[in-house]
Amino acid sequence: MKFLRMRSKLPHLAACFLIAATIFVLPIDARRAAGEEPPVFAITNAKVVPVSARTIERGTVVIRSGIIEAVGADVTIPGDARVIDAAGLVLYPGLIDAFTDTGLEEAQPAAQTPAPSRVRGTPGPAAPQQQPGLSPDELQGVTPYRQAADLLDPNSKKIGSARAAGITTALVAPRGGIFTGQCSLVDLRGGEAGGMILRTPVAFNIDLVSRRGFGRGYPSSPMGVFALVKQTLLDAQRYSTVWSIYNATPGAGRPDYNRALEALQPLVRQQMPAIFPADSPAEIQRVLDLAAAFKLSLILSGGTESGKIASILRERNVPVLLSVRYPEREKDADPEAKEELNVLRRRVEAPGCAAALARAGVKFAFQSGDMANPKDFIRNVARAVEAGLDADQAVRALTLSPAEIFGIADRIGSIEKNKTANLILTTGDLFKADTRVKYAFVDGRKFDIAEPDTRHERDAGTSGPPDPGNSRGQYESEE
Amino acid sequence: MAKKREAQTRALVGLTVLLAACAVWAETADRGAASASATVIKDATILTVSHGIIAKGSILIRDGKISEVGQTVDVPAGARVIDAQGQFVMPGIIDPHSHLAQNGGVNEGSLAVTSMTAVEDFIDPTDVDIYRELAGGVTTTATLHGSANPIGGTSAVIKLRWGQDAKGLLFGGARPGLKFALGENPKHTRTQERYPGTRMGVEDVIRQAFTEARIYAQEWDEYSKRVAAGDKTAMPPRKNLTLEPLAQVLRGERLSFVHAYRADEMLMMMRVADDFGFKVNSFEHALEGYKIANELAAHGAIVSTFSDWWAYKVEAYDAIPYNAALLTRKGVMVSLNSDSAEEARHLNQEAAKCIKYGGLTEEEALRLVTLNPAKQLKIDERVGSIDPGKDADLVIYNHHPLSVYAVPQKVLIDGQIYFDIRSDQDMRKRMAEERKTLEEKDRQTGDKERPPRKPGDRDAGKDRTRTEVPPQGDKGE
Repeated sequence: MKFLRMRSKLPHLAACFLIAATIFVLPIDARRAAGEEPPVFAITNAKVVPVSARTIERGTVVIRSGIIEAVGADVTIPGDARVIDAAGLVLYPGLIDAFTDTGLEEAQPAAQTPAPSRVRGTPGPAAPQQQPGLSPDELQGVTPYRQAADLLDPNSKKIGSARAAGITTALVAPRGGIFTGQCSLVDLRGGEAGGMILRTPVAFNIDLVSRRGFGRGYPSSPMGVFALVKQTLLDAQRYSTVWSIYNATPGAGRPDYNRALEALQPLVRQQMPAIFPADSPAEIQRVLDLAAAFKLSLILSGGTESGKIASILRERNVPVLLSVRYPEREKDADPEAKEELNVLRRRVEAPGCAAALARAGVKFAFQSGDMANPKDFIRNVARAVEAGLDADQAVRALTLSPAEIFGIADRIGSIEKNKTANLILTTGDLFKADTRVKYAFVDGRKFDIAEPDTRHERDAGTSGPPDPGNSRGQYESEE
Repeated sequence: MAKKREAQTRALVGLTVLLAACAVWAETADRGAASASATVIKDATILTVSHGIIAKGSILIRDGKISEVGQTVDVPAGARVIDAQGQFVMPGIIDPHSHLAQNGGVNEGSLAVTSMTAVEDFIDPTDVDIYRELAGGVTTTATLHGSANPIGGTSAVIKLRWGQDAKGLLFGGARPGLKFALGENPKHTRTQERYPGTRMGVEDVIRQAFTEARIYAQEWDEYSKRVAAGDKTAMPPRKNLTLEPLAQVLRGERLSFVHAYRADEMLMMMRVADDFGFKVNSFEHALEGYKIANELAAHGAIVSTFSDWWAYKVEAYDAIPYNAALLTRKGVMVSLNSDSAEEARHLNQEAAKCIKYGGLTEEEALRLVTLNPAKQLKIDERVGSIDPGKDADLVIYNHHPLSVYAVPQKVLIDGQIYFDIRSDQDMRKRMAEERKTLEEKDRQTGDKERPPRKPGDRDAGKDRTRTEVPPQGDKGE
């Protein structure tokens, strides 16, 4: 009996110990396993391109806990650091795709799906709601309350392939509808969605394209979309006014709460910018006028021909998220038909746009324009360099410039002490055709980028979760 | 409705001007500065349209305005002199109804009332039809929303200053307009079941919208009164982009352009206007206008019609080419409109037809495409005739503009030459050279990263930049 009791105490002790271990030890293990505690790295002998400072021909960068701890030619390597001898490699800040849908859930809410309806007279708040589960806001594509951060799928295959192209950070814009929602800056590291968010919300995204066809509900034309944008902004302004009156004036009638108009308040109060798509000078002018009329803080997206009115953009201090998805010759064009001269002109001159913006002093950053293959991102930036853009400026437009445009240059965009450890190691100059990205560091986590066509298997000994969907980059959390 | 006929003729005539147009656009972009100096058009037959013909006269242009017109004018030192001996000068043609230079869809076809849409937001300064129409003598056009809805969008008046940006095209100070449409187009259900489906329904929609607009205007009036009285609890009503233009029509601040064909629907619209206390500015097309000339004259509605274009749909069967002349004789202000980028290029000939059909005088005929549309658009203080003080918007023809042989030689807007048939030829050459250069550059700097074609791989390496005839044996692609 005694013996038994003695024996029964032992498991008790063991249990206590286990509980303690669970509290104090397991979480750490779990965090390690989830990649929350990146090891210390010292990247040595690399050509370091900090972007914010002069290039260091042979330098060392130490990163700890996801933060850059030291940068320089003479840096003492900490004892606990894993040394990566990067001789012959070039270290850049992680590239930023300044506008993309990378990482978004595949299935977007069905905003602005065609809603065949009997519409009579003027459109009003009581828009017909024939599809169950869709609010009138969603039917019209006015969903400014949506946020990319809430719509992320960390397992998205696009995350891995973007990272393999050297993109460590993306401005992710919600899609679908007109006021599609608010953009978030996302570190492309996979794992928990919450850990990937650098900052949110960063800007509103407004799309000016209706995906309805003729006769499939309002708005169905560019004119209609633009009118809807104007009306919505007017409504948001009025919402601000009537609530101010109500709050300041006892006896005033209480206005109605409105989810969409409430969400738009930072826009009409100039607390957050709006990203508008515009390519041609006429489109850009239209958006500039709209922004001026409603006093919006404006960021242009696309900007294929923005170089033509660069001086105006400089004067108005409007940044451009320049798409490097250049116009292409129509795939199924009649081979015997001559391309119209203005179409040919637009196509051939597109890579020269970045240089024109740079010459005029317009702040710009490159975006991939949702191109199918992220590798084309750098390849097409290289074409901008061929077309006259200074290579240093091109690197800047992939790193520090977007960080500045999004107001987060104190955290990302360059290789500096205390900045987020978003880095890429390449086999050479970024814009050389045979250069490839060898390693990417996102929040200090190291990803080996497999050589094209020679995907090697994950090392047997590595622990930690597989990086889901990462077909071309291997996440390495432990030795 | 113009589309069918347009499509047929457009293919024939379009290509010739296309090439030259693009180059002109690039070239004229920075031309504004030269306007300071004076220009004299010398020794031309001047068709003033407002006060007869000056057989061998001259026009002095200063700062973009017509300064003097007469047998002789002062020629200031350093003035540019255009010798127009044997040539004819008339006011630039004004096309009061087109869909030129739009890239916003023309129709927002989803709703019956789309007065919130604005053509002015979607002026496309690169539309090559601007140059083509300019080459046909048009200097000003009202570009309107389409006719899919009983109440369409707001319109824009532009000058065809080819090479300027969208804002540079706008006719500054022109009275704003709003498009309405009656008859078959708005009642067509087309791709959706949308009310209205009958002419009765069209009337109902318009009455309903104006009723709402009247209430809307009252709400704003009441609000203004409360604010004026110092009521701090007054909440501003919603600014409604749909009702605002309608309220402006009710207040007489915005012109109504009413697309209509049949007599009965025009009578209906005038009754609606009378009931709501506004005036129909103009009926557009109005092919049965001659049946109700007295009623139109009494209402004061202007009619903008076609010369001899009919039978392209059921409601256009009762059209007669005498429409313009008969209405003119009954005291109705009549203009001709193109509704088509092709028709717009020979509106002078359309005017000439109204001499053959109905016996208008030459000056009356020319007014159909100059002074009368200017009055219709309420811009006749500025344009529409050759009179001192008006904008120097002029066309120089090689023959009398009512002749089928007349071809514009030079077209001036605000005293600037925007079309010149001689420099047009030079520009074609320069454009051919530019194309060569661009194609060469395209071959050199185009996307070179495409994988090379492997045998048996039909799509890989497909030359996306190909402009040449494909090699023989490869035509099956």
